[in-house]
Amino acid sequence: MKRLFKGGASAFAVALAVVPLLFFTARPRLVRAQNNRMATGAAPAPSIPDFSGFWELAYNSRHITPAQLTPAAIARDKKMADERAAGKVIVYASRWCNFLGMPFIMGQSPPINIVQTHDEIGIFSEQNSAPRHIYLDGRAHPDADQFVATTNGHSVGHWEGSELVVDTTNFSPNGHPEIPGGGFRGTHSHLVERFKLIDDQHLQITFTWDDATVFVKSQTYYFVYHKMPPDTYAFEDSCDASDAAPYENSGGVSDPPDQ
Amino acid sequence: MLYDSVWQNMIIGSKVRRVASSAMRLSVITTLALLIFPAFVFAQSSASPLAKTQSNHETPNLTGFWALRFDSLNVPKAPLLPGITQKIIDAHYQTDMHTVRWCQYVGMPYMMESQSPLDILQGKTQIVIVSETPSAVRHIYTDRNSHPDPLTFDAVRNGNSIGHWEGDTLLVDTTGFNDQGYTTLPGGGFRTPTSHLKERYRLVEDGKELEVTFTWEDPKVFAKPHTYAFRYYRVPRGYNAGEDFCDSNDQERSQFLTQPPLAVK
Repeated sequence: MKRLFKGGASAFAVALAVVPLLFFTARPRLVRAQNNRMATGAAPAPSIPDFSGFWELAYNSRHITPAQLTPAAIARDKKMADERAAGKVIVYASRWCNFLGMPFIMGQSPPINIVQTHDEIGIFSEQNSAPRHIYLDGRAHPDADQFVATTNGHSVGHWEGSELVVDTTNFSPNGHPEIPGGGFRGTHSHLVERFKLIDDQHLQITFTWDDATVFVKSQTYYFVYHKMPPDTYAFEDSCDASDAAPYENSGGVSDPPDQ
Repeated sequence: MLYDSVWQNMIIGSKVRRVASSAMRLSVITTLALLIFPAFVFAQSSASPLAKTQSNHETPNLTGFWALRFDSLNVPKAPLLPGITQKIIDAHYQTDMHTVRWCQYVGMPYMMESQSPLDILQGKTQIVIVSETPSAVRHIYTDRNSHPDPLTFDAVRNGNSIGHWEGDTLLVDTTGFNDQGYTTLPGGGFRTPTSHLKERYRLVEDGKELEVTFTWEDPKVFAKPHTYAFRYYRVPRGYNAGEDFCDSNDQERSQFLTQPPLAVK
């Protein structure tokens, strides 16, 4: 028993020496690593899908159902239809090189480029637009009085199994706010997207818009994107509003979006 | 067997080893485990930011938001060719102002001087640099070692960038520029279709700062390579990127930018 106690005491003494050693040697390394190496982003962990790459829509990629609109939204859409019928076929944002924003940039023919890190996913369009920042680090949306609303809104995402669920608020009405199926983005809009890899060559994104001022019920549609070859590189949209020549015979420019 | 092997390899002194019978060994191991396990758990929880991001490469990670400060710029005067007259420089300045007035993409190198933080996303095959200033994003491809054929590549304001790591330094090579956008360079000179930019990205101060060295070469502009450096400061986590929305049809804005400012009397 005495020997047992003696042995235990020795082990206790050793442990007392080892524990602080573990702590003090490990922690500075970890802090340095956190700052210098892989702590704030890097590529996604192997267990979650990787959406990185260039993705483009095909002729049969868009699966859109007509939106059920409020009377106010129907009136707005009619006003725009009347403008087009009167010859004002150029969208204000396109004519004046405004950022086009969501959801336009997700539905156009040039590919979107997705870059995925642990804490953020960026979606980049070749169209004249700000990029999308989707934060995955658990943050909440900022208060409206602390964030200037943008054409892409403020996006936070989280993983539900193999699906990425993205929640976006804080939209402005600027840019190209028309929503597929009818209706438009505005300051009250709320978008939920579900990103899902069908296989390694196809990405499905389901969009659900809510806005009590625009929709009677949620507007849901989905796009299926096709992966582009790995040597694809990005082009750059060149917008020059000072050049009026392309618009001289257009019949006119639509009014700016209602603020 | 494993138990014995571990035991023999532990550096714990011959005295403990000498008295250890089987029961004794069990007791000692239990004691050690009780003491060390919490420390191990603590170390792991402290390590979680690292563990969750450990990836398939051990290169430095530039991902995050980075901002310039008042003391961020080390910009010497550019060694311009004698033929670069003030008239030529003024013409480029007019082009720059036209770019801003009409909400055109500014491009390189002006986007790297953004007054808002830059967002760098380091993916598996490319590093993207995003500015809140109206500009296309920069794509630095790290999965290829040559630029596209100029015959098939449309020159752009940001050029075509490829990068590779040499130790802890990212080396970026950019060609394929056009002469549109905001072309004036820090220190003097300007970007042209014959410009060639080499950059070095290196984390310093334990990753709190990012030093970027820019070296421009252009046989039509510089007598010798023009080098300057910026030091960016890491923005605390939680920063939300904004958007410099620009409407070129905003007449009040246009007046501000194009009319001479009123003198203060």
